[in-house]
Amino acid sequence: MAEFKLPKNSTINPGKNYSSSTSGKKRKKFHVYRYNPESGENPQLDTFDLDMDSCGPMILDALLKIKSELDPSLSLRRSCREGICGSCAMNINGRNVLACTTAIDDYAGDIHVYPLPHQPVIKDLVSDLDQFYKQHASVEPWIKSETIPAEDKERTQSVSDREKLDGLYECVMCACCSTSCPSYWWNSDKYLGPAALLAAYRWISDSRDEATQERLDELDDTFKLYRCHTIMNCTNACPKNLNPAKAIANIKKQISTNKLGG
Amino acid sequence: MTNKTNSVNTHSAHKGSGHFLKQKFSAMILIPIVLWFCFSIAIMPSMDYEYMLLWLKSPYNYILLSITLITGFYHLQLGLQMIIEDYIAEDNLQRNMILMTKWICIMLCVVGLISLFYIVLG
Ligand code: SF4
Ligand code: SF4
Ligand code: FES
Repeated sequence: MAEFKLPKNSTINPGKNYSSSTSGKKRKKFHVYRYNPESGENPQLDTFDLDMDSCGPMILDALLKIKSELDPSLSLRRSCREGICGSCAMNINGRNVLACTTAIDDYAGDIHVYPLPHQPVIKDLVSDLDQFYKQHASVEPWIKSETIPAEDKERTQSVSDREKLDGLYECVMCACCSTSCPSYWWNSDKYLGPAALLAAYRWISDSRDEATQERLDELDDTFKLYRCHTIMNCTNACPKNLNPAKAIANIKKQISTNKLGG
Repeated sequence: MTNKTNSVNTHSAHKGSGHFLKQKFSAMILIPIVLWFCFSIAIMPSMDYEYMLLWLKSPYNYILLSITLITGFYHLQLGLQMIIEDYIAEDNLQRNMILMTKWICIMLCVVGLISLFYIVLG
């Protein structure tokens, strides 16, 4: 059954207050979701009052400042700090974003930082994306081809065929889209979600791939694909400005056209 | 936050597109027919029983109204099925609810068609 309320052990309690010792004039409050499964306690919302004069411009900078100056136990994922590794995806003031490419100044008031919605939480801002990655693997995101290219030759592709992959291959697998999708919240055990479907479409569109029909047949399923009701949250959320909703609509169109013998 | 089983759907039922197409086709039929229906009601000079009866007795109106009933209930059933699949995860309950709504829609549609028939005949 779809869940509309948090389970008892997930309701959030008020947490501790911290404050930067340096007393810069410009300050900002960050309310950060904390959860430690080992403590056996419910999650809590800690408040960090930061001195902005000694803080970098991005949300990730603020979180790292908290970690290095106020509470080293704060857990989060990050690596590239430039929007390319996809690991710092989290929910800031109600929207899924990459913390490293989101500017603090874009928010007028306090900033609320939560892990990605509707995923199991490992600790603090680190959510368990196991299912998400398994779904990605399930669409077999690699080239499938029977034809063997001539020796010492690459598989070539025309410029216009290559262009068909623009807007599809740039996905950094941050999961901002899938975890913003209501259909994915209710049915993530069966529905593949926008990120995996975008990856599927990337291979369906590749002129060098020879398993197009097989891929489409695999997706013709009430739950894997057709749970998408074009709500468009995914496209709205994508920090790389990709359009998974359109890719999904194209998959549906391609399957329908085949069915109708077009 | 949630406690879903960590399994990936690797099986394809090879259906889904059927439901999708039926939904689009019935919607396409419903667009002109609902417009016709609203328009006819709007331009009706009077709403009294005598006039309505006369209107229904025109074979043209009678047939179109029957099509409205059939396509409307068909489209309703497809939509309800989708909502149930979205929100009821338990397989048996899901199957039974879909079956139940299917029969309710068929029943209501048949009741509508029979009533129409009697009104026109009577
Ligand atoms: S368009 Fe589809 S995949 Fe995207 S948020 Fe909506 S239902 Fe989810
Ligand atoms: S499509 Fe966009 S939001 Fe979704 S995983 Fe890829 S980069 Fe992230
Ligand atoms: S740290 Fe790599 S995307 Fe944010």
